[in-house]
Amino acid sequence: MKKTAGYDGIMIGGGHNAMVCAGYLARAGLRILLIERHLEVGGGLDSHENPRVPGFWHNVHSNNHRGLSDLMWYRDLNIAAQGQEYIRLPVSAAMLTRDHRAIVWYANEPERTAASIARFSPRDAETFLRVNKEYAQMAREIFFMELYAPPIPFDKKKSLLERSALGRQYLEWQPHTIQDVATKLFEHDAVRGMVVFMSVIRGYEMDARGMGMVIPAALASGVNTQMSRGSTHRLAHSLNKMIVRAGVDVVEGQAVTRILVDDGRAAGVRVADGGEFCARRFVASSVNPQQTFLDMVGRERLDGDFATKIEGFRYSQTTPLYTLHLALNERLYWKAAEYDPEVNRAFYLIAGLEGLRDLQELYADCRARRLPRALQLLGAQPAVHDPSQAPRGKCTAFFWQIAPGDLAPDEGGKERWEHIREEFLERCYAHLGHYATNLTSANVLDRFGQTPADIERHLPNMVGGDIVCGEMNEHQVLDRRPVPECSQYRTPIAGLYMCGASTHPGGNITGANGYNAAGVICRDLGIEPWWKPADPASHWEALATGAATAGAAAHIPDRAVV
Amino acid sequence: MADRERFDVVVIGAGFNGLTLANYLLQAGLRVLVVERRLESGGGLSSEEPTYTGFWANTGQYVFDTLGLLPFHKELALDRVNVSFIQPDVQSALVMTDGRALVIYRELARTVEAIARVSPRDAGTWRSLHRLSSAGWPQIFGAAFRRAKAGTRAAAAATTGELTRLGRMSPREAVDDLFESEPVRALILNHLLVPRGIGLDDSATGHFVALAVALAGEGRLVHSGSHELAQGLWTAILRAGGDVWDLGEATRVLVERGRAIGVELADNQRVLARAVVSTIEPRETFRLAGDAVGASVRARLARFRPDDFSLFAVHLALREPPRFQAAAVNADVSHAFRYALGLETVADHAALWHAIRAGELPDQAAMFVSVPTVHDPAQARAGQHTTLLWHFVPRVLRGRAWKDVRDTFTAACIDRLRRYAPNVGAPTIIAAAAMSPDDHVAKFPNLASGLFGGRNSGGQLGAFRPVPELAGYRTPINGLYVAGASAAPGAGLHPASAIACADVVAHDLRATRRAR
Repeated sequence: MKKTAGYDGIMIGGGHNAMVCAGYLARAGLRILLIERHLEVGGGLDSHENPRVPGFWHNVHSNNHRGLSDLMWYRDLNIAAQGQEYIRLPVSAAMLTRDHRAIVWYANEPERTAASIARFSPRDAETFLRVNKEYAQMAREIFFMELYAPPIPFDKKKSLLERSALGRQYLEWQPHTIQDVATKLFEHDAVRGMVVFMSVIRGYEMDARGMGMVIPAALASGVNTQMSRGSTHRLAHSLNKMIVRAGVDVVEGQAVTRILVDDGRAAGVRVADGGEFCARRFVASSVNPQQTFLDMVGRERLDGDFATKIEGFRYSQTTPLYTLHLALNERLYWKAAEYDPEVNRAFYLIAGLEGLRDLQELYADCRARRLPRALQLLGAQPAVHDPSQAPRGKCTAFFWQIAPGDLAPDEGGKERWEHIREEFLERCYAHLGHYATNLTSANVLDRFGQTPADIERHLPNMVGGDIVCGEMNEHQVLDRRPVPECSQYRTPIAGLYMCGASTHPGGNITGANGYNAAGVICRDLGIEPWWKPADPASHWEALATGAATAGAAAHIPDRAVV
Repeated sequence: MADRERFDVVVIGAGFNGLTLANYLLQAGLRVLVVERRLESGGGLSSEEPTYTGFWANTGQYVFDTLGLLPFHKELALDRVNVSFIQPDVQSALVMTDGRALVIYRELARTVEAIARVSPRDAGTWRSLHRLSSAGWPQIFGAAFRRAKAGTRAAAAATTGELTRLGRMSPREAVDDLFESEPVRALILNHLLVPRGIGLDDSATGHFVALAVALAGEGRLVHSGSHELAQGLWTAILRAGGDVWDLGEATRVLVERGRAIGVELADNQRVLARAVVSTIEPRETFRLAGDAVGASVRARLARFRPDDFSLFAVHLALREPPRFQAAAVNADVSHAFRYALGLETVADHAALWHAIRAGELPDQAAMFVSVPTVHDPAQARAGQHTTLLWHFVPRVLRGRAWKDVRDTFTAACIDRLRRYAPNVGAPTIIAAAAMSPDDHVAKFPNLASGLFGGRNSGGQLGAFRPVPELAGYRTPINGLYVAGASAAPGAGLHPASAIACADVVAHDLRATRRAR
């Protein structure tokens, strides 16, 4: 068995959070090794060339990287200098109704979004504009700032926020559920549905209490849709370049099987082929808590209560996705374009959602672990906006359907997905045909389905296909994510940290988890971070005393990611 | 659009040759940029999941047998970028319909012993050819293999004589001349096809028989899949201060006063450099350079003959490895790295070429099979397997389109495998994916000359490849160089042209630091 020493720290997993974290730490002077089980790093930053029709690239996990190029780590780590480019999409989403009308949501033009909403409800349009203005500062200085810092224990946070107007705005909405907030704010069910869906698709549970601030924050910040030029996976290349240039060693094609604990302290890892790597100062895991503690550390090394909590970390049944992928001869056009031509410019298309009631029905199905009775597809045609993702003049498309990965036993269990991949594809395809003018067999060069079970198979971090690696409900967000003992990225094992989507602030391509963990690890090692980590506590304190300066939140982007 | 920063060398194409070339140039102290059309670097060094999640198929090349002659992995210290190779003990098995198999081993003595059971005389010939080839190959191949360990001068002289004699023959004539046993003859012809791309009657290639013997035990696969080698070469470039731009399709070679000064990319960006090395298809290279190349070279290149065959690849995700019936007679068959099916006599080869030249689907199995997961379980899900079938076929079918026969021929390939390994069928196959000759070209337009970069026969080999004017890697355009599978010394799943070309470029640019 080969033992390789010489590293200060080892990152387990090579998703974007681990790479962001590794980049900061390497540039802090630490010698870092990153180990990834796939041949390519990137995790959910994944794109595959279609094996049946080469030249079509399908983004099989993430697509919309909201506001990413505005983020502090993107600047700090010089991601643009690695060749990364982002395409900003002015029309974020269009919700197509069954009768071929549409609500169009613009990235950063609230007046236009309001005008589109006004065709459904003038009152809701006014509300939209009002919330957009009223909560902009709260979104930025409370909500986003909190994403890009280790979570502050709720009681302490509450006492800080109660003392400022912005803080009180946050606390006013926070206790409620997303769907209640939408219902309270808006009168038209379609508007409610669209507003809620844009949060649900990012993994927030719409019926969980304690999540209500998500809605005003989302309405205030715009959607800020953008996609990585050249396909999603290109960001993985850029991050890979960044870490290699920062001196990080990368080992691909090796799965970590064990975290070596020496005298109560994380001291290294063992990989599948038996090799071992020593870490002098820390090990940071970007995989989920069960993998980290039960599989890699070993239950026998854990305190019993802690192990029970880890076992109880839950995965969502309302985030797993079935995906219909299409390789098209020409892009799809939408019948609703007669009602509003802007729908043909939209990035996201929602097809099958008439209102919040449809989402409630979907939730009931998901919670019962049944196949959805009705479909609410959400998808896009990436090559419309970035022609490099398909052969010249041709197009790619994907449509997601939320569906539970772990089907109930009487529904056929998880294995059933294996048998209904084609049948479900057919269903999605037929459904989409109602909304498109040109979804014909002549136009479809190839189509394939990807089930929630496929997601887990590809990224075991996403149990049951849960794309946010752990349900984002009131018990598993902020200072409780994944469990209170690990919410500051530290764990009960000295020298072992967590830095992936199972930590605050959850899933999606934000880089926040890795960014936050890097700050904690640095300080624990006695190194003053070379960057300026956000310090929400002092900022909120200053807001309360009126001492806040504009500069204090300068590194928080105006239009950040939710 | 503004010109980007200046490099010493821009390399077009991030395939095996482009990535290797860049590394050698960086070692020589030059500033290097590689521009690549695709999102993913590596070209044929690709590992993908075309069948089913968790099953990694090597969709390009999978066998590497020249590391002993061309130790680029050592010279570039690729072990430091996570690249390692596996050299299976049982290297290849010629599986016969009558249930026997001729098995070749990593260890020469075991191979000789196996051949002796078929023909003691052939075993002796094998041993002497092996010795001969090891001593003489570097001389024959010149610059590309300059780093290979040379034998004594006397041995080299003796070697050269025999290799020259064989070099006047076709492989078929050479195996007939050298060996008496039909399976041994066929086995050598098989090893010339994969991975050298040499057909049985390609003129003046008989000396490659000696190479086939020398390298028969040398096959290796890349740990975790071929793409890991691309990933390692890519990482090494970055570490050495170079860069690789993905989605950087070169649309023009910029030529000013007869000298290449850089490239223009599809996004109109211009990159200036002291030299441009193209690793793509040579005619495409000169198309990018516009009219700047002389008419005689263009006329000659127009006559450059593409491969006259292609491959139909089937990738399988399996619940268990193919269980060859021949393993009942010889247990080693179950651990072979490579299998040849349906090519057990010289006549089988002749029939295959007859079908290929007639543009017809061969009605015999003419397949090379590998089960990488037997040697490297990391390439599939725990306990499960991938299998690769390469069926030799015409590049273009007469009167039919590949897309119309893809599904039926995929099924035929699986049926043909089942005759040798009956367990491969509906219960064991999780998924199958096929790539027809058209699919290969759609994925890599660079393969217009064929998967082996153009016919490897006499007129297009060595100092004549691709055409005499370009065989030294320099071109009539100052500062423009060519390397790649279509350049000397030819394809064969090794980066020999890259290594030799790097020397020429470094010399011309008076690179300060000598390559290791």
